[in-house]
Amino acid sequence: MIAIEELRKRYGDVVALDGVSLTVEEGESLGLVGTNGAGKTTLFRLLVGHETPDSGRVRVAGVDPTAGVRVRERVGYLPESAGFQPVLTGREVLAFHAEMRGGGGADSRVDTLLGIVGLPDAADRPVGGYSNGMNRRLGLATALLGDPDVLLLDEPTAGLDPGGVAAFNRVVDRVREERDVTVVLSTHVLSEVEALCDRVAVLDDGEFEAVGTVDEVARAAAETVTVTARYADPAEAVGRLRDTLSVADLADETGVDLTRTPDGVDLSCDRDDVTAVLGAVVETDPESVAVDEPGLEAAFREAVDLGGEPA
Amino acid sequence: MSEDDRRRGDDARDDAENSRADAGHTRTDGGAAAGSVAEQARATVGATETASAYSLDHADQVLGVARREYAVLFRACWHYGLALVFGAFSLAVVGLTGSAAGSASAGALLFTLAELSVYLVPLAALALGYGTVVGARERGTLELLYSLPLPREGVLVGKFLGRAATFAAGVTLGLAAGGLLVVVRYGIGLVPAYLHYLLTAVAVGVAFLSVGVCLSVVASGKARALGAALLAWVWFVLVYDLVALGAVVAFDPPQWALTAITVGNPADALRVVVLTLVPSGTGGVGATLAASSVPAWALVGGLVAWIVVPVFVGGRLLSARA
Repeated sequence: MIAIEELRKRYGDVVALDGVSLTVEEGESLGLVGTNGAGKTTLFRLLVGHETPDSGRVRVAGVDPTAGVRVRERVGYLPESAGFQPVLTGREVLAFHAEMRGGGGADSRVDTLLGIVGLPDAADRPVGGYSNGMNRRLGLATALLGDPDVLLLDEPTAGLDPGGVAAFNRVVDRVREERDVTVVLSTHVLSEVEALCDRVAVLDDGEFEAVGTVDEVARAAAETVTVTARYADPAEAVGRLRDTLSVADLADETGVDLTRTPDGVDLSCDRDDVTAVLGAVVETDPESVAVDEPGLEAAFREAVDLGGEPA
Repeated sequence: MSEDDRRRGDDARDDAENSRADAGHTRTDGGAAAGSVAEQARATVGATETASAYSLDHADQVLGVARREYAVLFRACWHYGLALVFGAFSLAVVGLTGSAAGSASAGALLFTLAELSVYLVPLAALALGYGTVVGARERGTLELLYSLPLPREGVLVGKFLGRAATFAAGVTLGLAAGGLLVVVRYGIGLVPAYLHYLLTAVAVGVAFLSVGVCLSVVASGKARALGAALLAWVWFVLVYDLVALGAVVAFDPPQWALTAITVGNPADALRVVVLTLVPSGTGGVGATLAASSVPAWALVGGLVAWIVVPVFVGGRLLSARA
């Protein structure tokens, strides 16, 4: 549905995108994450034809975005900075966008979308009185009006409170269930990507640092896994664990890092040694065992070279 | 364009789009030979769509943008504001001219209206126009408009038309109030000349609105657009006439040069039209130009050019930025 090949875009001396390639299949949802200025918005603007690439090729729904306006008949786009005329009502905003996109049944389409985004009661109020979250949901409705094949959402939940984020994501989830639409979503909220997206692409300084399913990207970056074991007598358990691990077949010769906690032991080990470490732990009769794999956030921090622990 | 022509165009566009979609798909799969097919299809469709961008295909959408712009400005009270300003202006001029001069001639009244309108009309029009694009950009509404299947030029033309209609409605309503007083004081004999003045004032205002819209495209921020609009007002209303008068006195230019000087400033068109209607003994560049018999076609053509060219240039600039 979306195909990008060796795409480059530069603004003066600033390289926004540096030869990126990517494909997004029909019906797939892709999360685009990256630091501010990584090139996410530039990529969206290229996909919708608001910018022309310096080189490379873009196809969205088989259409070249730079050749006229036809790509915008197939794409619903919610820009990060989308705003509305405050004197118009939500219904009027949607009616205008429906008129612009043509096709019959504008009124029923507007009513349906107002229901989907949860704004039927506020439909006849001026948009100037809407909350931030309501504005974003109205923006999503405008993007959906043309029944698009591709939905591009540029940081749609930026500035929303947790309730607003949850409400917005429920709508996106519902849209994905009800319509066969390809979604590309950029966000700084990684849990959003984990909840909504099939795949994730980490963009940094105009290049993709990692692309894959959420699990693939998280696992590829998570070199170290922590096994947490609870014991009735942690002091005694440490000694037994050292003995057991000393004969364990570990891939990482640097071994396992044991840390005693008030009610047990934390064992940090290489991903490849998790099975061996778990075997050793089970032999020491723990009360409980848990495996903590670093998630997407760790992968993101490693990919964009942020380092350190999340705040 | 005939129905057959339109149908042939649609068929060609559909064929081109299908071939482009196919080519794009093949290319995605990595077919080496697909590149040339894709290029060919892209070239075909690109040419077709470029042509359609300026055709009537988007006329309904442009009018839709214009209607929305008009509705937004109506709710923002621009109509009432313009009507109030021009109503107060015209009532004051008609009332004060009559009371001050007692038997003041109708010609003097129209001359006074035209002279003062030269200051007020461009100011109001530039004030309405300078935020057209840059204001929408800062508010975030422009990006959403750009996401619609409508060329940027179409968005700009639609916004311009909506604002021009707003300006025309507000100014007509306001000056009509003065017109009623003119009828009361001078009878209906002066109505045709007053209507002529009113229409010219609206046309000149729309020309300045076009200039304001163009400045709004060029400016990087609303404050800069406002500054540029004020500079434009100073140039056209204050400085241009001084330069023109100096040129007329110093060089005694030929007729074609006088015509060029007149059409070079839409504000002068207003002066000249009114002075042509009601000659007066008052001096100034307007009187000089009026006395030189600038042809009507040049005045009309000049005003049309001032209305069309700035918006066209603005549209091209917007398109070039994509």
